[in-house]
Amino acid sequence: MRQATLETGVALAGAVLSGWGLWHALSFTRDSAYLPTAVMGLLTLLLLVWGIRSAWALRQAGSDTLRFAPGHARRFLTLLATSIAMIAIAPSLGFATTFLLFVPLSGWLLGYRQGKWLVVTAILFSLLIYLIFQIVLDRPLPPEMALRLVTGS
Amino acid sequence: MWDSILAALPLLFSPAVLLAMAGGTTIGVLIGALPGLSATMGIAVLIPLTFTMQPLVALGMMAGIYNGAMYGGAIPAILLRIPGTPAGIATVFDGHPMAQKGQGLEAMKIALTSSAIGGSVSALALLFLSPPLAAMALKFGPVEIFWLAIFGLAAIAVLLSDAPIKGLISACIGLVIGMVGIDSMTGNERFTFDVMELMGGIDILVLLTGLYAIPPALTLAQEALLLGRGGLGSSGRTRSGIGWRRLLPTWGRASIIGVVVGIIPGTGGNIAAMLSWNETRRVAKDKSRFGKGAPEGVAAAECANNADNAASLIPALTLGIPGSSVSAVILGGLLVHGMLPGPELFTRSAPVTYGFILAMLVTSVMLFVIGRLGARLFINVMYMPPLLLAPIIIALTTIGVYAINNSLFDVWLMLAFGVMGWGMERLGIPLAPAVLAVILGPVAESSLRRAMLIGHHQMGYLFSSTIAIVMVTLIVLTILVPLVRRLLAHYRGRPSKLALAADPERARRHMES
Repeated sequence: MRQATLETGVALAGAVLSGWGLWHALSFTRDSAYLPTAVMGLLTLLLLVWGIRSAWALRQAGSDTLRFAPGHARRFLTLLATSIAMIAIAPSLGFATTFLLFVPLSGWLLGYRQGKWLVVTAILFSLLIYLIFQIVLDRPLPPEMALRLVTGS
Repeated sequence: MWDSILAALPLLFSPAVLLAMAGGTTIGVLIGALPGLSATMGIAVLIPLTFTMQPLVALGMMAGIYNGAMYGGAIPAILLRIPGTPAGIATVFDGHPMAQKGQGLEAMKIALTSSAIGGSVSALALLFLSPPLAAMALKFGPVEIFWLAIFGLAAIAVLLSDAPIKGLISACIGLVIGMVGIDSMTGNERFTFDVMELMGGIDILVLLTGLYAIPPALTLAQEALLLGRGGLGSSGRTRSGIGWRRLLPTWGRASIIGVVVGIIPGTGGNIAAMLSWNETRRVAKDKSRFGKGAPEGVAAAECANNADNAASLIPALTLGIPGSSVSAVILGGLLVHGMLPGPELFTRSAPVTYGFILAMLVTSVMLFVIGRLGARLFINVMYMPPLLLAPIIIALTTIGVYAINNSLFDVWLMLAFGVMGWGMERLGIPLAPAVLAVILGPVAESSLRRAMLIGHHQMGYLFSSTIAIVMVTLIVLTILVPLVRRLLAHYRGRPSKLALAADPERARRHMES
């Protein structure tokens, strides 16, 4: 895929979204609407200009081609997916406990194969997080599942 | 001023602040040494962690990270020909050839000393230039503040990107994000879509962490930059026999360039380093040595990029106009600790403000000591596996952002901003204008509304003072810069030095050709 194709698509989709934002901003009461209307209007215009310029570049032969190295997209999506899962379960398991699973699992899925370092790093990192946030900073975080399992309480 | 400095000294030299500065400097060098990570990212990740700290402890740590990361970028630039930070590109030109000649450690010593000198000069400039500028800002009314905010936005949006249209799009996105929440003047909701968590607006820390910490982590994992140990073989101990005294004029010139470039909004360490390296080569008797391992080249680049550090905070601290992404993040840090940029910073919060400025000076000196003691450790950091580092960064930002307001919504928002930032980077849309717009947008809007009330809704009131007219002229000139730059490049048939400095990859290609 060419860079210009991607830019044209993003710019036009953005212009539609921004246009909807402009319509939404028009519903604000008068004094609160000036700046949102002006900004959304300008944004829509800029996105349209960008889209037209990118579409024009598509017609030229010199537009850059997007190259995805093998594994790039897979690693990106893997980290994104594990991050989403981590954020979703952290309130139930506790942050340090979740990191104890998230760091080695993500590292492994991303392709890091030194098992010993994965485990050691995860334990040290989780301990450090627990010490900093629970003991030193005394932040009210969700209770730690690992701690409950170890202490039995 | 001297009273405030004296009042700041006991705070600055308290054990907690000294420890924070030393820790921050070390962390900064480590972050800078890792290709793909920058000072902005380092500070963005750590700001949530400093939330519960005393203001000067947090600011001392930020000062250390800023100075440390700028030097840290030189380590992979010299040893591996990969600039750890964008500002390290000019260091590659002479630093790596020195390493190839077996003078890698010597190049690192030059880079370290030059960074410490540049950082110290920059901190002194911040110390002596800020108070008069802040006093001048007292004369600013709503009209002048409105135009100043617009000038800051225009400068960053237009100068920071090769394509001004993308810079302006980024600024508009930031303005929209800044408008989310309840309008403080009318009490009406804007862009909240009845989501309770959005009523209070979007926390600047959530945005900063999302935009500056998540994209580097995603990129680290995606590209999995695995550095081989082979490149280090050339860090040897061969001595070129350079005299430190010979570097004095280079340091003097580079310091001035760095400070001047730092004060101008929209520039940055990479531009300062490139201009300084070019200038040092221009005045040299034997120009042919440059690009082949001239110690002056390393000194010029490293001294200038660190001289840019504190100087770039001058407009941020005095006028509330952050001139770069790092100063925007530091400004966010100040806001988090209840310190409002502007003249009040130098009166009401004087001890902490002067303490922070002095921390920029002290961490520059600390950098020299820490850099010498930990050289081997910092070299080894370059080889940390990115596939392990990326999840750690995500985890650290997650708990950091959650701990601010105990809100999972903030964490989801941060991730969304992170993915958006990653996409913007891929599309060549700069992130800094968006962040600056979030900070400056509300300032501009409230100043405009107050100006219109005072001026009885007459548009002419916006152009009623000399300062306002000067500002408007500057805005017009700034917007015309890309056009002039393009015309000049077309006329010369080659890119300008400034254009090269703004685009490190292009500069490297140009240098190689």
